[in-house]
Parts: sequence; structure tokens; C-alpha cells
Amino acid sequence: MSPKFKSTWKVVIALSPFLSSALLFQNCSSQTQWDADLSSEIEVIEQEHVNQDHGTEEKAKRITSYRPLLSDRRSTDLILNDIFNDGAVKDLSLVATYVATKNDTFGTPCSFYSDYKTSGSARYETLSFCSFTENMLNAPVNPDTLVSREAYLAYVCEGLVNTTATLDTAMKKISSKAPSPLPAASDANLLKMFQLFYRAKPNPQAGLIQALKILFANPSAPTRDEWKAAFYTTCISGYWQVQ
Amino acid sequence: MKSRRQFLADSLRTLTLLGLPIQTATTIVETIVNKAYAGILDSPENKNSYKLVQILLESAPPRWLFDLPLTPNGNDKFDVGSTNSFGNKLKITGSQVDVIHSSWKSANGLYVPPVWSLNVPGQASFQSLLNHTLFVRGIDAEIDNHGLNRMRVDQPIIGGTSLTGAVSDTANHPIPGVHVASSATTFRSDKNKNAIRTNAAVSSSDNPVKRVLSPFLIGGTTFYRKDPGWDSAVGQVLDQFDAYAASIQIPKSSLRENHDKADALVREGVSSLVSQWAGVYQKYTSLVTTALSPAKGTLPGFFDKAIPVNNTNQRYRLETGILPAASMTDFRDVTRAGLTMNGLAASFAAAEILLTSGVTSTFTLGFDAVRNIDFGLSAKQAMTNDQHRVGNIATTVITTLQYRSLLACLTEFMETSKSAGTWDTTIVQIGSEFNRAPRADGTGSDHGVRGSNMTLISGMFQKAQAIGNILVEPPSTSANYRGTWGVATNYKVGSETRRIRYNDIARTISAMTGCADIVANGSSLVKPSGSQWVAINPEAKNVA
Repeated sequence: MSPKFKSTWKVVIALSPFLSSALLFQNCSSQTQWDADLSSEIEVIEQEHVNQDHGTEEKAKRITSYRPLLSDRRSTDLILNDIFNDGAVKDLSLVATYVATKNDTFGTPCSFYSDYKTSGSARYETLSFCSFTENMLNAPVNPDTLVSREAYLAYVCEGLVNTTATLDTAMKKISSKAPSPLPAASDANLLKMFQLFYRAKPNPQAGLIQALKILFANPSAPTRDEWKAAFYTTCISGYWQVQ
Repeated sequence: MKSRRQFLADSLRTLTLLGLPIQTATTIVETIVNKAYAGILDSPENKNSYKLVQILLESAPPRWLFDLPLTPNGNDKFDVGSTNSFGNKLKITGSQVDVIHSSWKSANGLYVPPVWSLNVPGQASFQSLLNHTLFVRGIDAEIDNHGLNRMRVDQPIIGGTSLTGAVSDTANHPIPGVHVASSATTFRSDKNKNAIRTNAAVSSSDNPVKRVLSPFLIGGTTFYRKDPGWDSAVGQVLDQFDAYAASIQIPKSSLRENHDKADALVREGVSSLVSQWAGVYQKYTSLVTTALSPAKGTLPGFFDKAIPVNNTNQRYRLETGILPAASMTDFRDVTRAGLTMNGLAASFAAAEILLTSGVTSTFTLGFDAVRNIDFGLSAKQAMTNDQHRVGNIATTVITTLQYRSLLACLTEFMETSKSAGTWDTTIVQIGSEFNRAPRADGTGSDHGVRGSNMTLISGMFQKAQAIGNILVEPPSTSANYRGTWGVATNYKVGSETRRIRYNDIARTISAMTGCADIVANGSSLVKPSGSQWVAINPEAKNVA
């Protein structure tokens, strides 16, 4: 064991009582609105009605369940292509393979009309997107968040930022001169990157932009790896999938 | 509950405040992060959730050979018809082979089809499985249609929420459901989850577990995971995205939680499961092979004596009408080439790995035909489960071995689930489209819609039970048919007296698992009693 690791483990052992206690009590920490509940639903009391006709106070509550809509396979595919595809190919194969054709995970079943031949052998939606297997046809219309969905998304995000052409395409949308030079990690440029994913959504608070800046050692002279991390983090943040 | 990542990010900041170098603090926190994430699959949420295994006896093989006790109390009246009709055991007198009805008295006094006594050497007895079994006889399947009724095992209201979907909705497993069967996927979730459908194909480089876990087997090589400093920073930025989402009123969402789970599974959670495959698959393959190939002289009533062959008698034929070769003198030689059942071992191996590890909470598997049957002909034959023209001698021998292999797999699955601590929260539901109506001359059988049955096996049952009333003499629709064996008649279900329906089975599973009620009517057939579930109405009568 290297001296460096030896010293690390001494620290681990020394701090283990503190850390063990902290882990034990992590679930006792304050509950936020956010990470408390695995449920994707909220219940909204729409109306509280007091019925006095029968001489008794009878309250009737109408409860509506609301679940956020997530982008489906096609809209997720389109957004990612819009960010990372320079138009050289119709669809980025990585996105097609792990998003557009994953009906069972990203939702929206195939339609028989998807196989409609518009002219000659061209199809409205290629068979690579709709093979009419049972999973394709039975896919949910409004899919819930799934662990497998986030795994595929992370893999796709990872592949897109690790590929020179796709990352360059995305960076050009921040600065037309990119990748040479790389855009500065300024507030304005980080906001542009944010907006590539978060469409028709309010701008973030300053804290988020500042948090993105911690990925850059020197925001005015960023490295390629630092922009990779920024795009990757925004891509996997996931909330941009909420419609 | 604060998210683990948030908590650990806070810890990292605390450690740096204590004056530790960032790299040291990161290393410490990463060690803990990895240990915390490794527990995702066996988290209490997943570990304690209910699990449903559906075994679809696709194409409706005859149930009196397996899980339809026609005389459960031993002294019940039952009109078995002539010895040329159907039964569940052979009686050999000289060159005469009769198929007769027989019951095996189990250790707890319940009389069940004799296959339950045909244990596989080296394995726990089938009695140990029987101790957790509830046989529900006398079900009216209502619809005479293979495809629709098979769906109704899972989805009593066709197109509605399924049992697998409802059970899956009670937890948040990485994969909501797994379907390994040739029939249609019926998984329907109120939360719009979806099951992964795959098949039971196995090669040296591929298997069902690998396919199901494929989302978590890709990736994992990205730069940020290799560098704890990056990893920690990415985590802190993601926390700010959480705050942003909250600020714009995106309601509670499991997006982030699912991302963290996926991330953990990609890092380290699933490769160990894939590596289990070879050993577990081999275990089930060995059991199936042994169960399908008994030694001559064993299995009383089936393989203990030579079975004379009459190669013109239709009671020996297969669905295709093919009869044994004239050279075949002992019907036990059908196993000479080694009978096979495609996918059974692979399905159970996948079910064991994926359910006991907490990857999924529902698993549907199909029950394939027996293949590689040696009739002394140049080509090997197959025994379909839809046995319209299968002779009663052929089905009694071959289908019994088929059920024996299923029992061997079930017993092994139970033992492993017990070891994993999941048996008390697992329900195995065995169902099919309907039972069968045997031909009077023993040359085949047709659909027996009103004589259906369903079997539930679970750690929540602590004794063998059979319920449901059937008719002593099945109504015959024509001189050619004996009528369905085990045809349903009135039974007290909840506040009603009527035939049991698939809806009642659904309500039973909903009651036991606490999952959403998916049917508009029906009643649970069981109730809790201490630490176990027992029949509300223990009646199992044969009614004249």
C-alpha cells in the first residue's frame, strides 16, 4: 500500500465513528419537498364543497392526481439531436439506439401509421424506430420515470460529450467560433448551455450558474474536459425532460 | 429523507471545513458513497416489497396431472369415467395400459396428484413446496379463448391494470417487471411503468439476465467517474438543479432518485449479478434434465414398469397424430434422447437472480412444450401443451415429467428465496387459459372453460390448502367427451355463493400484497391469521 493510501486509511479509521453516526442518522435529516418521496404524483384538492342540504355538514373533496409529463422517445430524441447534431446525419445513432427505439422505456408506442410509406421505399418513421415488436406496440403513452431510463440517458449524455463532433456542435451553439477558441465559462455562456436543454422554462437562479462554474478551474480559460463536465451534468440533470 | 447524494455532499463540505485536503476528503466520502449505493438493490424498500412470479401454463395443458386435486380429502366422490378416459397415473396389466385417477396422500393429509410424490433426487422434497401451496379449484374461466384467457391470469379486466403492474407499483425497483414468455406482455401499471420483455435464449455470450440488465451494463467509463474530484463536483451541481426544479414548481419527482440509482447500478451494482448467471443456470438445467429423464424402475405408476406400446392405438399419439414406431416396445424409451423443455431452466435462473437481488418485483415466465421426444422415428417429436389430439398414455407419461421439472424448479426457487429472505413476500401464481375436457376414448381433450383452476404458492401460506367446489359428474356436451374434469360449482365467495372467477384470484393477490385493487368485483379467498394467510372458506367439496 502506498504511503498516500496508508495516510488516507488512517484518516478513515480516525473519522469512522463520526461518519458511521452520520450515516446512521442521514435519514433523520430535515425533509425537503424534493427528495423525500419516490412518488411521482401529487394530489391537488380541487374543490371543497360543504353540503348543507341534509342538515349535516358533509364535506366532499375532489382530489385530482397530477403527474408531470415527461418527454417521450421522439421528443427526447429531437432535443438531443437539436443540441448535438450538426445535420450531417439524420439522427445520431447513439440517440436513435438508446432513446428513439426504446419505446418501452421512454414511452410512446409505435403507430401503424409510422410504417406508412410516403414515397417509394421511404417510410415516415423508419423501421429502426418502430419494429412492431410487442414491446414497441405496448409502450406506455405517458411514461413514468424509470431507473433504466435514467441509465440510458446517462449513457447517451456520456457518449455525446465524449465525441468530438457532437460536443463541438453543441459548443458552437454557445459560440460560433467554438471549439477554437473554447467559449469562456461566463454567466451568459453557461446560461446559453442551460437553455439548450431547458426549453420554455424559466431561467435558473444565480446559484445554479455559480454551481456550474465550480466545474471550471478558471472560467475565463476553460478546458475541453471542463465543458464536457458542464454539458454532461446539465444533460443528466433530467428535469429538462419534464414537459 | 434527504437524498444520499445530498447528505454525502454535505459530509464532503464538512470534512473540508475540518481542514482535510479535498482529495483526502473526497476519497473518504467516495468510499462511503460506494458502500451506500451498493445497498440500493437490497434496500429495505426493495427487500421488503412484495414479489409476484406468474407462471403461465401457455396453451392450457391438463391440470389434473399437476395442480388440480380432484379428491383432496381422499374420500371425495368423483366420476372418473372409464379407464380409457383421462387420469393421472398408469395401471399396467400384462399388455394392457390403463390410465386411472389416483391421489397421493401428502404428509399434511391433503390428497394431491401423484406428481407431487415424484421427488428429484438430491433436492428437497416437493412436500416442502406443498406446505406453502393453495390450490383453488372450481374456477369458471368464463371465456373460451386461449389468448384472452391467458391475458386474464394477469389482467382480469382485459386492457386494464395488471396484477404484475399493480404489485410493481408498490415499490420502485430498477426494472418494474420482466416478461419471459412467448405470450403477449400484459403488464399494465397505474404509474405508466413498463415491463422488459425478453426471451429465454441463452448463448455463451448472452442470457436473459444480461439482456434485462443491459441499461446498467453500458457506460461507466466516463471521465468523471474515474476522478473523485469531478464526481463530487458533478454531484454538487446536480443538487443545484434539484433546487432549480423546486423553484419552478416541478412537483415531487423521482427523476433524481432514479438517476442516482441508475448511476450506482452502472458503477458496481449489476456486474456481480451477471456473473452469477452461469452457476444458477447450471443448477436449474441440471434439475430440469434430471426431472425429465428418470431412471427406469423409478417413479411408481410411471416409470417403475415397462410400458407396453401399441403403435396403432391412438392413446399413444401426439398432437400431430404421430404414433411410436413399430420397433418401440417400451414407452419409457421416449426419454432416450433426453427430453428438453426450452427456456424453463433459463427462466427460473433469471427469476431467481432478478427477484432475490431486488432488480425487479414481478416476473412472468412461460411453460414450454416438451421436446426431443424419441418415438423410435428418424425425427424427434414435440408434445404441445394444447393437447387436443394427444393420447392419454402419452400425456400421462410425458406431461407428468414436464410438471415434475416445473416442481423441481419451483422447489429450488423456494429454497433460494428462503435463503435470501424474500420467500415470505413472494407469491407464485400458476395459471392458464382453462383446464381441459377429456375425450371419452382417451384420444385427446378440448377446452374445459368451466373447470379451470389456479394455484398460489407463497411463504405467506404455511400449510397445504385446497379450496373450491367442483361437480362429481362433469356435464358432458356429447358422447365423445367426459366433460371437463373439475368443473366449477357454487362456493361461498365473500357474501355471495357462486363459482369462483379470475377476479377473485386478483382480489386475493391484492389483499396479500396490499397492491391496488384492479377489478370491479370479486372477493379475496384468503385472510390473515397470525403470521400466515389461510382460506376464508376452507371448503373443497365434490358436489353431486
